[in-house]
Amino acid sequence: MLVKDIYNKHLVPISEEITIHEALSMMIKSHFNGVVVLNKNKKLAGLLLIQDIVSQIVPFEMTENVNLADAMYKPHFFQDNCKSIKNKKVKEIMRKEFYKITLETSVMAVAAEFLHTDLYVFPVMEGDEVIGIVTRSELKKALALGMDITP
Amino acid sequence: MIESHLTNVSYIAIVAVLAMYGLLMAEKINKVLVVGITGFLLIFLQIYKAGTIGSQDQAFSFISRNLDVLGFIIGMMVLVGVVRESGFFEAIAIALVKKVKGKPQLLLIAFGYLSLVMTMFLSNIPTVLILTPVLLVLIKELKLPYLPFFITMITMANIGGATTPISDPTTYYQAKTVGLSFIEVVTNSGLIVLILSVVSTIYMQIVFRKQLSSVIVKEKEVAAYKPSSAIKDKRILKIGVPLLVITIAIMLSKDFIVHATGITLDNASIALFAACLAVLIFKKDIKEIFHNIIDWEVIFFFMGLFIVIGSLEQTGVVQSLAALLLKWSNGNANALQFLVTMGSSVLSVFIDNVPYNITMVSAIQAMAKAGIYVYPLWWALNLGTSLGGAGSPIGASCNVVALGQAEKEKIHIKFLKYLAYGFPLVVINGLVTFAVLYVRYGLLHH
Repeated sequence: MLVKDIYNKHLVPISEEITIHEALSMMIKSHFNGVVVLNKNKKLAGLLLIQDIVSQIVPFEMTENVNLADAMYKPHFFQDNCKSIKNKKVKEIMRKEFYKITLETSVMAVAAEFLHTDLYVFPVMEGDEVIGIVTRSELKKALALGMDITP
Repeated sequence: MIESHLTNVSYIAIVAVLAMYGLLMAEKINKVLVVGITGFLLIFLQIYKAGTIGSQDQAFSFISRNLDVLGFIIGMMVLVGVVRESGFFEAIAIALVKKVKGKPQLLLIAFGYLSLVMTMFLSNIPTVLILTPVLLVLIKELKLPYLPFFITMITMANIGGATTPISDPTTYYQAKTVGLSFIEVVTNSGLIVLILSVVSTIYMQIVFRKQLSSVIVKEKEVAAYKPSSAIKDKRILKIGVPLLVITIAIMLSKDFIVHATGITLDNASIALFAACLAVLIFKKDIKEIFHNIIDWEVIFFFMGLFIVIGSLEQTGVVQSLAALLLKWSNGNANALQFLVTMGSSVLSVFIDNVPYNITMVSAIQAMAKAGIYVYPLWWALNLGTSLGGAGSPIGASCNVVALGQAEKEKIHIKFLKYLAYGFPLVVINGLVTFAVLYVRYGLLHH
């Protein structure tokens, strides 16, 4: 099975110049948990995933020791941190290193990368153009195809 | 008077050691590679060759005579590494924050003393590894000024290293090599550490008074803290923490045990046995222990240093160094005491205190062999190297570890800014140490 058998052509790209607040609003409206980010020339500049935003909220040492996050609970700390980053630009926090795929990439490779990293949005490239994406929904579709489940 | 005869081989050893110090200070090449390459070059240059004993065999004998030190360090790394997974120490730190209601001035004192006490039993690197994350969260949540808290934690963790032989690898090395008992170290260095901790606390409250009073923390901001939630592994808490306490208690009482029962015990086998028990009881993956818990960089650094500094002993350079120190002090015991205390303090601000300590232990032993009364010098050296380590961001490994963690949260403390606060305290603490040793051994001894 190849990417061309499962990928989603429906893209909701965002600009790298918009704020995190605007980007999150768009993600909520489009029901995507990760989106591709385009630069001024409409070329792929990065990806923005929910965990990229979350990583700006949670202090590094709490991710290293989750118990610390619970033990040192301060009311409104989460909300305050959310407010403190909402006007940052997407380009400041988007991820620039990620796995790019083409229509001919095998689904097994995408699945392996999905398990290997925390990435769940894969931009499908044709040259330097983004023509679609593979997300967890498409992986679910691939599993369904593999198990002969019809929707 | 110490006879000093330097030969051509001695000069090679001096050049090699000076080059090693230079490279260590430049921090361009990893310190293990620096001491490793220096050591092997000295071996190939036949510096250690003695009669029928080959250069390598003689060089390696400098490691083998220190196996107890190496075994002790490895054993404690594993034991502390496993026990810290309990979350017990984080829970204590958070409980203290609640106790002082987050008030910056009191929190600074509480955090400093927690750092000091933890270092006494766990040594300073595990201490800062445990406390820094808690401190970083406090700085973020309560908007505390980071500089006073980092400098205080680091200072107390460095000073604390001189308290007991198990507080710091160099203190252990010195106590073991010289034959200083646990009680001797505690009643000499340990007592002065307490005095220095008070001096340092007062200093911090004065120099950071503006930063501390500019922040107001409301009690309700820390009221929801739940220290018990920091406990990660209750089994390690119930069995691991007592295992650590019992291990330390056995180390403390080994002189008594020998006296009462005739059973000889040494720290390496005690620490390594406890480490094996901890790994067995908590079903730890041995590969994980070897990969992540034991800091091989520290172990190989020590091994390389034993060989390199051994060349100074082998070629008679330490005798010359001892003679030089005596010359500088005009044979005056108090001047020598001042020279060792302040020299150790100030030099340790800028150079790694491990090679310095090992070099000076050999030099002072050479003085002792020449019949000079060196007993107070051991405390001057131990305290000087420990308190000096707090003077700059690179003064000791634990400083680098703590500030490295802070960098991950984009907190950068500039070298000179740190030095501006750290260095005067080193001088003050050095002078206090000299004064106490002078009263105790200079005045009272006479």
